Amino acid sequence: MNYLLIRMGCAFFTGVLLSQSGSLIQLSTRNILSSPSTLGLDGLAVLSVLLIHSLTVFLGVHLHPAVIALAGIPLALIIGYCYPRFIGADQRFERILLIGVTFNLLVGAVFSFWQFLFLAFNLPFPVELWFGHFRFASLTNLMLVLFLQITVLILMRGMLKDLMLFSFGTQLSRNWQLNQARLFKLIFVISTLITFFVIVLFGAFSFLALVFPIISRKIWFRRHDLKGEFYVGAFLNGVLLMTIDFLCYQFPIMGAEVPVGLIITAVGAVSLITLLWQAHKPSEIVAKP
Amino acid sequence: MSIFELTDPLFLPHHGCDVKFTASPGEIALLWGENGIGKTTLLQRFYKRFESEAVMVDQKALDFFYDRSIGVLLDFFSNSQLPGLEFSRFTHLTQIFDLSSKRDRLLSQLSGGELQMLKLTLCLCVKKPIYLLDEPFQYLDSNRRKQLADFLIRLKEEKATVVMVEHNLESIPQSWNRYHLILDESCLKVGP
Repeated sequence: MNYLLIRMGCAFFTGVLLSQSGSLIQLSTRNILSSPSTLGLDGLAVLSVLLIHSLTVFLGVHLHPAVIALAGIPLALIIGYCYPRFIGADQRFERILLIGVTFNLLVGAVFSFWQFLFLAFNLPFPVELWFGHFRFASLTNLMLVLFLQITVLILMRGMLKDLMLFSFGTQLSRNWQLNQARLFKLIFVISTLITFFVIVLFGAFSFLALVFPIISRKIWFRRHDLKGEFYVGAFLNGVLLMTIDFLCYQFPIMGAEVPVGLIITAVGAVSLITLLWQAHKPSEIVAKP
Repeated sequence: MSIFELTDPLFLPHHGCDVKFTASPGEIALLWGENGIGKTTLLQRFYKRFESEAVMVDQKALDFFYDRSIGVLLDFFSNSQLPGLEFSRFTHLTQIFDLSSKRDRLLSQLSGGELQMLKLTLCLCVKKPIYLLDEPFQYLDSNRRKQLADFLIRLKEEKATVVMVEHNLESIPQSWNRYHLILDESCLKVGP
């Protein structure tokens, strides 16, 4: 199969998955600044991959990223299951976001120090992990993200009614016997799985899951529709990421390809600053989209 | 369930005080008292205790995330076959609050009264033995107040227990049981 086709497929499904992951998390926390990046899930996944990588280097074995992704499923399930408990019923959600962002910074520092040590001892180090890209896209990777996408779509179909009810109102959905704790666990398990798979296979795309749902909601003909955001919006975001990656591939700078994750992180960080800047009051951070 | 009562210590500012309040099925109990005395807190404690059997209609009941039109919400409740939905109640409330004519209005564009009517419609059409209402008459005009009062009497006739917090006592029928919340030596007391 053509390399470019596989690569574009990987980029497309990554965009769709991260968009859906961000939408789910923003809806569950009712906060448009929530995402796997700002809640620290990205940092946890990067740290896990670093540990697994170090272990394989010291043991002298080479594991395909697909094997690591599959082996990490139980870990992702545990983190996803426990994370809603960590958030709890904290009324000051901004505190959780600050902890998440700070944790990511800490992981960034650990990452740099680890890189320094590995290079000092002339050991291989996954430098691309921090800024994701699709240069090493393979058919196996494509199959894995496709499998994950199908799983997510099946799960979403099963919980769409609950999500609709929950999106109307927290207390309203409680009155209708919606098991919110179960819904949150499912959402965080899905989001952690997506984050872990994407980081293992392609590296981190910080802030992408934050910005893409917001873009989805700006699509005028689907603005007030949950299904529109999860399906049509996520599809268009997949196309967007695929296009940006294609441009990175087609137009290298001085012969070197710019990692698409780098561009996404820069754009996402600027968007986050803009959102925070526009929020004059704390209540506006939890703004209606 | 025949009778329910709450004897837990309340949160601050009445920390450590036992509050006893009893209501029976087929009763509309009205809690009233000064601002900040703990009426809503008491209602929330009730809800916490009887969550699976109770409906709570408070100020945050409709903290919507997506800014949809009323029509989307009404269609969802009409077509989703939600367990416990009393369709006749839903139709009745939609009619008395005239929500069908506002189908295209977005939630963010609704007035306080319209939002209150939508909230009451979506919360009261579920069949449960207990209804806890925090100022249900707020923002409603006199005609709608009367219609809501008639609907609550219908709930009473169906042997449901309705406990509500209300400040404006003029629009409340005299036959409803009133409980005055007062502070006695820093402890909250519920009296007739």
